[in-house]
Formats: sequence, C-alpha cells, structure tokens
Amino acid sequence: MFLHNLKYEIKAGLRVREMIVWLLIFPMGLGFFFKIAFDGIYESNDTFNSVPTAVVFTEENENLRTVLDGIEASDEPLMKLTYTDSEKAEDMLKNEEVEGVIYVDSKKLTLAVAGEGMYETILKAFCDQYNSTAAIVAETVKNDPTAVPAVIEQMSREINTVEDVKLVNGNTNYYTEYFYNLIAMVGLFGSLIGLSITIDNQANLSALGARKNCSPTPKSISVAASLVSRFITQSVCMVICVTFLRFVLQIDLGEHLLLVYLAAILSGMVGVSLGFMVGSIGRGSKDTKQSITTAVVMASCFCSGLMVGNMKAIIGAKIPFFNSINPASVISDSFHSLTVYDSYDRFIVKIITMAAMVFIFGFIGFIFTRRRKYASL
Amino acid sequence: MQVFNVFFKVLKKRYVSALIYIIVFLAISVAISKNYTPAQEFKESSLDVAIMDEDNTAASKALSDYIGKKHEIKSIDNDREELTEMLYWETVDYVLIIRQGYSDALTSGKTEGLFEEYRVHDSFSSVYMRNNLNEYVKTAQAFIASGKSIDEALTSASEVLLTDTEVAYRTEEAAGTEGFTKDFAGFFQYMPYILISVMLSSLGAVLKSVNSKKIRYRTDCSCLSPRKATVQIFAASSIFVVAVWLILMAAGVYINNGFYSGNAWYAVLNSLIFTLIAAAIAIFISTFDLEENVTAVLTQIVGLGMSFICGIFVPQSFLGSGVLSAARFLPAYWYIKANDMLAGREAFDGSKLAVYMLIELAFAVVLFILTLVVRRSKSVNETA
Repeated sequence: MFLHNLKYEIKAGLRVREMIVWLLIFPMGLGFFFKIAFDGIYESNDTFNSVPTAVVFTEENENLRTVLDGIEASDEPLMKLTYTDSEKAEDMLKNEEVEGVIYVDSKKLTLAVAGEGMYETILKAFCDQYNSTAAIVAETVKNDPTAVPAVIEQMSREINTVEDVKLVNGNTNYYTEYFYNLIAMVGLFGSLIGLSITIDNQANLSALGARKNCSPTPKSISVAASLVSRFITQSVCMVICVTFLRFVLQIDLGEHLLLVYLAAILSGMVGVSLGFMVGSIGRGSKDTKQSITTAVVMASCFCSGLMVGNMKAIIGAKIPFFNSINPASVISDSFHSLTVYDSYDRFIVKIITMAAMVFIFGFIGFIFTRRRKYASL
Repeated sequence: MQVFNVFFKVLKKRYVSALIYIIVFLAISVAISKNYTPAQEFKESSLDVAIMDEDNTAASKALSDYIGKKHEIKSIDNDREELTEMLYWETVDYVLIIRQGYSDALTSGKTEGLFEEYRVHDSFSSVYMRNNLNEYVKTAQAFIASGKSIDEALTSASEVLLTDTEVAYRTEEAAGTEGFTKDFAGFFQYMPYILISVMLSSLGAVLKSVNSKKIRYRTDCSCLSPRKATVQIFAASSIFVVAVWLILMAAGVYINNGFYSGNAWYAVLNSLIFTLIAAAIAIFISTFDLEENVTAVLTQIVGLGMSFICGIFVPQSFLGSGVLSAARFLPAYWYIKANDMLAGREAFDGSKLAVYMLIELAFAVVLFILTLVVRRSKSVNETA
C-alpha cells in the first residue's frame, strides 16, 4: 500500500513541474549572480595587498628614501609608492587612487588620508614608527651620544619576532558562505513542496485533500508516502543544485564532496519537513500558510547571513544558542565545518542536528495531521 | 468601490510576509543607527586583540598594557575551534601568544620566536600587528642598548610608540553630504531589497488574485465598467505603494533623529522613484499568473540577485568592473549610484544625480509599458 501510494505521489509530484523547475532555476540564477559579484572580491579586499600611497618630499630626506627603497624592494611590500608633488598627490587622494599621502620634511613625516580603514591605519603606523625612531635617536644624542651607534644599529635591523600558526588549511574565503547560505535557502524552500503535503491531504484546503479523506487508505500511510515522495523530489533538486555550484560555477566546496551532497540532501529534508509542520498547524488558508512559510525561511536565512555575511557571527556573540537551532545556520554551518576544518566532529554535530530537525518537524506534522475529521465535505 | 475594497480584503491575507520584511529591516536599521557617531577627525582602526600570556612577567604585562592602549583586549580561552571561528568571522582580529621566556629573550637581545600568532586569513590586521610588535621589540632593545634598565626601556618604548603622527583628514562629509551621513545612507542603501520583496510578496500577490481570469470575467460581466474597475485597482495599488513608502520614510525620521534636511531630500526622492520601480516589477510579474510559491522563489531571485550585483549588500567599490558593467542594465545600480553620491562616496554633482534618477524613472516606464504589452497580448490570445 505504502509503495503504491509512494509511486503515485512521485508521479503526481513530477507533473507539478512549475515548482520543481523554479527550485532548480533558483540556485542557478542566484548562484550565477553570487559568482559574478564575489569572484575575486576576497583576494582584492580582505587579504593583504600593498597600500597605494603617494609620497611628497617637501624637503630632501636621504634616510627615508633608503627606507622606502627597502620597502619597495621587499617580496611583500607594505606600500605601493608614487613619488609626486603635493597638488597631484591630493588629486590622487580625492580620486581614491591612493589611500594616503605621506609628506616628508627633513625631520618628520605627516600624513593626509580620506578614510579611516585598515589602509590608513597601516600608513599611520609606518609614519609613527619612522617618527619614533627619529625621536629615540634625538633623545639618545641628548642623553648619551656614545650610545647613538648602538641605538641606530638596533633600530635599523630587520627582525621577525612573530611565528605564524595557521589554524586551518581549508577554504577561508568567507564569501563562499554566501553559497552555503544559498544551498541552505534552496533546501529550506523545499518547505514550499512540504507545505503541499498538508494542502493535498487536508479536505478543507484542496479538492484532492477531500478525495483522499474519503478514500479507505489510512491517513498515516497516505501522508507518509507524500512525505517520502517530497523528500525524494527535493533531494534530486539538492543534488542538481550542488552539482551546478561545484562543477559549473566552480565554487570551492572542499574536498569531501560526497559529504557535501549528504548535507545538502539532509537540508532539503529539513525544508520539506518544516513545510509539512507549518502546513499542518492551524486552520489558515493555503495562501496564509505559504506566506508564513516563506517569511520563516527568509528570516532563518537572514539570521544565517544570506544578506549580511557575518550575521551568524553577530548573533552568535549575543545569543549563541540560536545558531544551534536556526535551520539555515545549522545547514550552512555543516558546509562551513566540512570546508574549514580537518576534523569531522563539528560536521557530525550539524548532521545530527539536521536529522533531529527532520524527525521533530515530521513528528509534529504527523501529530497535527492525524485525527483531523470533517463533519461534511 | 467594490473592487477597491476587494483589493484591501485580499491584501489583509497577504500582509504577513511584507510586514516581517519591514519589521526586520527597521529593527536592524534602528539598531545600527543608534550606535553611530559621526567622524570629525581621523581615528586609527582599533583591533580586537586576544592575548595569551605564557610568560606572565612584568615585561609581558607591559606589552599587554601597550597593546591595550591602542586596541581592545579580549579575554578568550585557548580553545582552538572557538579561536578559529572568531578569527574566521573577524569577531577577533588578532590572537597573540606571548611565549614563555619572552622577558629574558628581550633583555638578551634575542628577537626570534618571542611571539606566536594564530591566523586564519592573510589579513591586514596580521600585517599591521606583526609590524607593530617588531617595532616595539626593536624600540625596547634600542633603549636597553642606550643604557636603560628593562623597566625603563619598556616604559620609554611604550611612550615613544604611542606618540601620534600628525594626520590631516580630508573628508568631504561636512560640505558634500549635508543632512545625509554615511550611516543614514545605509538605511537607504538596503531599501531596494525591502521594497522589491514587499511589493512582490504583497502587491504582486494581490494583483494576481484580483486580475485572475475567474475574478476578472466576473467583474467584466458585472454592471461596473472595466475602465472603472481598473481605475479602482490603480487607486488601491497607489494607496498601498505610497503607504509602504511613507512608513519607511517615517521610520527614517526616527532613525535620523530629526526631520529630513539638505541632501536627505534627494534620498527621499530617490527612494520614491525606486518604490515605483519595485511596484512596476511586482505588477509586471503578476501579469504572468504564476503559482504563489513560484512567486516566492522568483521574489528572492529578483531581490537578492539585484541586491548582490548592484551594490546593495556588497558596496559597489568592492565589485569588479565586469559586474558593474552588467549591473548598469538594472535599476538598483543607478539607485545605489545616486545614494553613494549623496553619502559623499562620489563628488556631488546635481546634473549627474538628475541623470541617475531619470534613468531609474526610465526603467519604471519601460516596465509599465512591458506590462501593458504582455496584458494586451494575453487578452488577444484569450479572446481568440
């Protein structure tokens, strides 16, 4: 009986092509937009690049020229320098061609900037360091001239006091999080398919529901077959979605692709069961339930960082528990765990959480769907 | 007035998602604006630095104090996963470990391996802090070389390194963006996404119902002339669109801590034009008679897609030239261009601003014409 119902549920589901087509177009369209928007953005904005700087010598300063030549010759130069006059430098600053203008006289450096970011702070730190070196030498000349050579020797050393410990070897480009959130949203939009389970089984919401309620098939079997058929349909959508992102758009989803597929399929099941649950609670109309489902999905995705990338971190700092129960956060975190960490511990926790969500949402859905009787159809 | 009333009756059933969009947007806008203080002079970026002091000596404490004078010190457990998350999301900018033996190494002139840093990104913060630490050690050792004791050397190093360079801050905010701070511009920047979402999820859905074949045929065969019915739908739609816009503008007054003034009026006009565009998009999509759940998905493709490539969620200055070239064919690009100019991110030029807004209006007109064309072709097909 169950398999018979399942077969026809799948067949019927495939005939409602409109929704499935859109669920496929959705990640492809948005994924394409994300790809063109974020391509190269991490490398150009979030990783260190030399700071474009204009240098204006109002007086000659041989020491500084030597320092600047040294910077330019280094492998990873702190600044990308343009030597020019004051007027041109200010124009460059105004037109955002440089981040700051360093004015040099024989004794000290001054700085002109047009913003307050990290670029400007690095330039100020450079000027501070140069000026403080000059101050130290001047102080030593005043207090103990014999120590000047030793002080100059100390100050002109190239040293490296910091050893670098890289915490992760995986993908640290956090713009990829937008794609994780996109997969989460596609998965959760499975709730629109899940919602149709209740609509197709509730006599007050559809003609099909009225017919099903008259049939001798036990409701539990009919609803379970509907639920499993939607899981299958949504899983196919999720597999196509991940395949498109990984192989067409070439998004780095890490090395454990099979696990990515597993998490994506589970995310689709979370979506379907969420829709099933929302649909089965209350006596609202089809349109009201669809509006509520969409709003819940979008709110969940917003909190997970779909619109503002670091929203999950902001929420995590204030209410850490929320990220553990917000479906979109849990889903996107499962991909994050796979691509960032070497160990599977965190991923396993997320997968178990998703499985628990599928069970809880499905269970609540069944509780509210059962024993719903109609006095008249 | 029957059709007019029906519009609002249907709207009553569709307002939930629109309301959620507006509430979430306004709550976030208010939260951000209340934490804002406008900049009058240059201020260095202050980093969130976590320090783990394994040396625990006077020298290591002096270093922590020095760092604390410039940056915010965060106290965090040495839990690698937690630290990884914090560095990944940049809730902490730098994690420094002062190694055991730091004090002795500093006195003996050693420089290698004094510190460790935990790193996730190759970030500006790392480069900046590494330079800062190297400079601190060099300066302290130079003072020791000049004959000072380690305590005196560390005090002097801290004092001399905290001496600020004279910085001229060339901001145009005061002249070019009167009445419209960069922060207030953020309120207007996110508005297109909200307007598109609200219009598509409510106006679009209501129009789809009101214009559905079944309802339209019933209205057409009633004593009410089709022209009068259209006028009533238009009037009801206009009231709804203006009401949504007015709610957002009223919230803007609260967020701005006062009524609009100066350039803010241009932003108000810009938002009104984009409200028309959002309504036009909703009306256009509603003509296709799509399923409710398909409209929900389409709303996200249009709203999010436009937001990401036109510079609503990610600033236009971050986007590549190829993306921006493609974005020119979308109205939100011109809306953001105008908003950026008003916020002082581009030199203010009245004629350029007018061109941006006229281009936006042109998009609205094209969308309305397209809607008429689609409706006409559909009605011809139905009649045939």
